Amino acid sequence: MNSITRNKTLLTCILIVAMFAVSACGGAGDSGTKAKKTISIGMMNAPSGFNPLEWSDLAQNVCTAILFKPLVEFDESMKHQPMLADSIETKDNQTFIVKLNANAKWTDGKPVTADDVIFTLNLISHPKVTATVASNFNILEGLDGNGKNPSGAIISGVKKIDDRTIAFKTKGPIDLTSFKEGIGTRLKTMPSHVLKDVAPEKLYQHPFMQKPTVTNGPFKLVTYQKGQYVQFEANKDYFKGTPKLDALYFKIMPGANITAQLQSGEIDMNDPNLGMIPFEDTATLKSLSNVTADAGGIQSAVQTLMINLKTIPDVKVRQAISHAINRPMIVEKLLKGDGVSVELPYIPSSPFLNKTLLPLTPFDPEKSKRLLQEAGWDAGRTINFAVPSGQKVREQVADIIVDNLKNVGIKVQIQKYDFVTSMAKAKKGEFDIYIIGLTVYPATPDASRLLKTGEPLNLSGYSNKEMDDLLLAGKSEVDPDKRKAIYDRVQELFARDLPSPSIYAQNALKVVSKRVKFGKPQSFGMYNDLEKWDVGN
Amino acid sequence: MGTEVALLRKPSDLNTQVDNDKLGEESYMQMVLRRFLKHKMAVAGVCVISVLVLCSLFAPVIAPHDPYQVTTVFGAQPTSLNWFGTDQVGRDVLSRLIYAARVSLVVGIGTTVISIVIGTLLGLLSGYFGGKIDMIVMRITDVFMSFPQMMLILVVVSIVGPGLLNIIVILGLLGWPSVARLVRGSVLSVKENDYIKSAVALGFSTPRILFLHILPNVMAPILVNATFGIANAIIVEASLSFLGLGVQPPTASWGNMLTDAQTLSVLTSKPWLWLPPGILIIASVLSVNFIGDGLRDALDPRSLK
Repeated sequence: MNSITRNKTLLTCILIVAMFAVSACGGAGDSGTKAKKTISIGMMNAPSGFNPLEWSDLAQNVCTAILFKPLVEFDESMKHQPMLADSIETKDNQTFIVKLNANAKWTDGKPVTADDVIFTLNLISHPKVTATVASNFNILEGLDGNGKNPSGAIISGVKKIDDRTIAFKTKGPIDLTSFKEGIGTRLKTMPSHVLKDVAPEKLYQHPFMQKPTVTNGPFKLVTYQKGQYVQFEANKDYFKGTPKLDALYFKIMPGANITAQLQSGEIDMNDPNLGMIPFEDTATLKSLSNVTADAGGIQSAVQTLMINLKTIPDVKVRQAISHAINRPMIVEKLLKGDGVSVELPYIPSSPFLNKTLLPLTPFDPEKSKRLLQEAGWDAGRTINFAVPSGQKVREQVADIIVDNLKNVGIKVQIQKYDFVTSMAKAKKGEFDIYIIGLTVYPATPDASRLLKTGEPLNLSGYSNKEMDDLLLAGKSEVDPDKRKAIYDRVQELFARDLPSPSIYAQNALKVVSKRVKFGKPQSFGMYNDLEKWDVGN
Repeated sequence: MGTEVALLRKPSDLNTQVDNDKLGEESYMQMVLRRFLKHKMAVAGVCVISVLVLCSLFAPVIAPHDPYQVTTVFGAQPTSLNWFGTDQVGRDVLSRLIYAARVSLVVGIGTTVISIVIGTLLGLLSGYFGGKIDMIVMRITDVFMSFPQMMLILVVVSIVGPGLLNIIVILGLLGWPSVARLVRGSVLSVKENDYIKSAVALGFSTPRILFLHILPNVMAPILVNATFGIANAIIVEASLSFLGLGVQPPTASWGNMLTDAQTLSVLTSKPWLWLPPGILIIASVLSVNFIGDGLRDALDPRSLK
């Protein structure tokens, strides 16, 4: 008897719970039926958080640039467009006057002021704040080589002129474009009234960095389902106009799924930098009727072959390696023409490319063999080729390079690791050759990260006094002709020593649904006009 | 010598009543063979594996092209020149399949040899000596068996680096616990037999008892287990290579050939890139498993007729 009663009670409980559950579902369904304008974008990398002081994670950069507008943003017209700053001007190339947008305000209604900008700069340069973006700020007066302010004194390189105007002062003359690229695009202003009481050393773990509540961009963060999607909703009070969309989604998925979901209409476009479409799918996507697919525009990364100068010190061997690689075949056959072969650190469309040096090491196996013979290459030696896994095309290029090198008599063993591991190993010098994609910054010719002594991406371990001096001089040279001469010389030295020959640059496929009326995938400045984005039905 | 032979053929003695030593040996083997041949699937498995072994032994002769040669036709359909087409960097798929058979078989056999040797040794010691040794060995076995295998393999591979030899060693070192348990169990029952007791009474050395009198009598389950071990190793190698942590390109393995099939377009329109390696993995694993089944039935004294 007892057990029957108990069972009845249990059953009643279950029924009640079920009723609530059903009614709850009904409520959610009702609000979802309103016609909302949304766009979903497919990407492969999940952001690690929403920390505007971080610079190493591209997906995070994209999200924080939507939430916290930088001063300016670069775009496909090769110019910097005003964002939070209305204008950045200079008369002497050393003092830069930044005027903030007069309408800019935070989502809690408070205005974005010069104090917020200076507060953010203080955070970035604070020695106890973890901020990977800091090294870009080392050009400012009062900051050290890492962009930090160890003394804690007031930074001499930044002054508030009025509530909307700030003056920045650099250590030496620097041209306006470099200032905009170095500081303008990377300074994402944070709300001082929200964060001023947070201890600097704890800022990194502060909940605000995982879910910012007060922002100033066209969209606000609603929720982030780790590794699945990021949901934004429109910021109706955005200072450049109310966004036409109601919501924006970043959906995180593998490359193959991006193709499938573009086909099914679950996502509206890919982010060409974060949601690379497998190139085998190019033909499939171009044949679909509901999307437009295009591989035009400038390339966003140059795949570079780092040669470890410690283990391969002979320049003849490095030339032989470069001569042996069949770049035309990679571009024509593998990339099906959606890419370019590259030899110097600049893409072919770059105005800074020293064309007189080209072709530098054309595909020539015979010459390569000759060079190896002259260098006395030990045919029994096997070199270690580190390849980051995850990007299929690059892995296939690695296979081709192995065959190319075998044909001239260099034995190669591939070692594949995930990107982070391969990078860590490369930094320790555990490779003979290493293929890696270097992001293109078309606005400036600076190649310090690759060629200057001790820079983190100078994985070859290249060190040359003249090169270091040139790169330093190039940064502060404001006369276009003199600057061109400096970088021509940089490329001459590069060509002579060949520490890290470039291989190819792939054109990213950009796919967008035909229901999108405004807004499209772009390698640069894709999200600059987010408030104007719109969809039909 | 005479005593040893007599002891060696203990199972046959138990199950067949033949007086002549030599005849007894033959008829036991013959009977196993007869019973194995009755198992049609097992025989089919032997045929498939033989073909694969021959292919991998004579790969340079059989393969129509150099499996590493990048040609100018990328991703071509099957033609009379390239029977299974070319892969995405223009290498002949058929030649790569043939060479890849080497990898799978080497991994399967290499791994199994390592785990059988370790497992048998530890199982024999633990079962025969019992007591503290048994306790220690079995607890180590428990620890090894409680690891999530795939996770452990992934971590170890990313530390020591991927590569054929590393894969074989890692899989071998992780595969022994089940063998050890199996052998220990069999030894526990075998060592209670009178002939072992008499061997001890006669003062035979312990290694002699272990390896000449006990081992031959626990061989049957080890053999069966070994076949399943081979099948498992082939699958794990394929999975690791698919994830990019196994055999390193350009060396072909069925697993890393399958990685090409990670896009929608290849899956739907270029089946020659992924069907053949997929089918070969299934075929080889099934064959080995069938052989294992056949061996088990043939060697099992309880199902004797």
